[in-house]
Amino acid sequence: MITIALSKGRQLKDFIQYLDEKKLTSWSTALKSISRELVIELEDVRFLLVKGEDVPVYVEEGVADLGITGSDVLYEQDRQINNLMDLPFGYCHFAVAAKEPKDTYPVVATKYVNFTKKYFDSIMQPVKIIQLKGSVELAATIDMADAIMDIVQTGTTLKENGLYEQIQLDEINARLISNKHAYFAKNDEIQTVMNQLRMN
Amino acid sequence: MNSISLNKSILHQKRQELDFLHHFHGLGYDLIDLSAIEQFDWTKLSDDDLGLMNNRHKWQHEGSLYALRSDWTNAIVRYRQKYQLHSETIAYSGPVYTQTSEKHQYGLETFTGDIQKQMAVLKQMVAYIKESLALPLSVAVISHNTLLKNLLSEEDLSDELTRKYIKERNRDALKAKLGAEHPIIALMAQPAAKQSSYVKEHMPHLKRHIEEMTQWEAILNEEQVTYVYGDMLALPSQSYYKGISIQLYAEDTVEPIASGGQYSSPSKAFGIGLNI
Repeated sequence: MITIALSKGRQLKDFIQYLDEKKLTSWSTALKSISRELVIELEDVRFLLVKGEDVPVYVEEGVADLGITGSDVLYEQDRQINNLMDLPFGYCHFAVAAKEPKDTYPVVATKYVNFTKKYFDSIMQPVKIIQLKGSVELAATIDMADAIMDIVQTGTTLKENGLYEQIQLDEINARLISNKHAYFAKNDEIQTVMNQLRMN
Repeated sequence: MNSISLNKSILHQKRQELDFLHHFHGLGYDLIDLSAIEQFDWTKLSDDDLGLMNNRHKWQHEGSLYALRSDWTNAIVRYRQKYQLHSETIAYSGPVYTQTSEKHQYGLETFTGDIQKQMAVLKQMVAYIKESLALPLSVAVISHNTLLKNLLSEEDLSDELTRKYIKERNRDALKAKLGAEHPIIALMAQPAAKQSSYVKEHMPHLKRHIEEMTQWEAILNEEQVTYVYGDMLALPSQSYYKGISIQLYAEDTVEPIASGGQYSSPSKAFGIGLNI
């Protein structure tokens, strides 16, 4: 039995669609049938449905052998996990967004403090980072910050708040991760899942 | 936890520590105790010292740098670089500290290049875990700290991102960084259980390392550890780790119950520590 931690929400829908494409219908049928359950148990696999940001925690702690979460989440957390494989969904990218282009953005609001710090260090610009938990767009809309650093998929939310993407940065997608111990102890089962989910 | 179970737990822990020292003293090990506070000279810090400092609790006092012990083997290496130690086998116990946590380590060290004597120490530790601690061992991971030195250039080996990608088995990112033709990319594509036979077949210059690993694997198979794996992608945490490295896991544990390996500082040695 292998345990896989999955992100609830949009990424779960994308994962179910990918399972259908890969003809893994027993998994997709079970995941489609859930309403509020947080644990789904099949013959050979148990799914834990958790918040995307918590997926690496469950995997690091060994509660889950495998997990699927966005590369943005992994970038922010320094977890002792194996970051095994790209998965072809959850595509978006990091971007600096502001009302209008400027030479520098001295104050930036974001949920992604590590990524923002590394980016501004890489372009050798000092920056004050304001960490927010959500509704990040508001910070630039009301001029609390010169810009925001956020993940962008379609850009609709930015436009609705009067912001425009100024600098497009790293691509983001879903990643398959594993617990370090389980990678050896359950290597056969993990290899099977990797082969089933691998992109053609 | 109520006071009765807390009392029991404290007494159990203290008794376990004493039992460990008695047990190995009875087997001929000399006992050693070192101060948990280590003193460093700013002008003589080695790369290894600097590498560990990020994770150590440290402070400065009257021109010297002080740090709490974070690893017993490291403390013993430093002691042996400074003072003579006449024992061939030693046992120790005591706390180790990170920035935010404390663990108790019990361990064994043998200062000899004789592989049979080193293996005897491993066997004694495995027997102690199984018999005295009554913990069945489910997984052992054996690696060789010089394998990657033979597969990667010095520049790649010291590159922070390359090390991160190897440590995380992130083959996609490593492929983008080193190129699809790099031999490590093909190695990483193999399942863990098949990597050693892949190395033997495709990288004959590393055959000697694999044979060394096989010898140590045989010991752990004899000791009936359920799964014994060879890990071809281990990165040495300290420059003095130059040979075999071993991690032992008890059932249903995420952190290894014991870890250790061969090192060379100032002479050949083998050590293994229990994390309690």
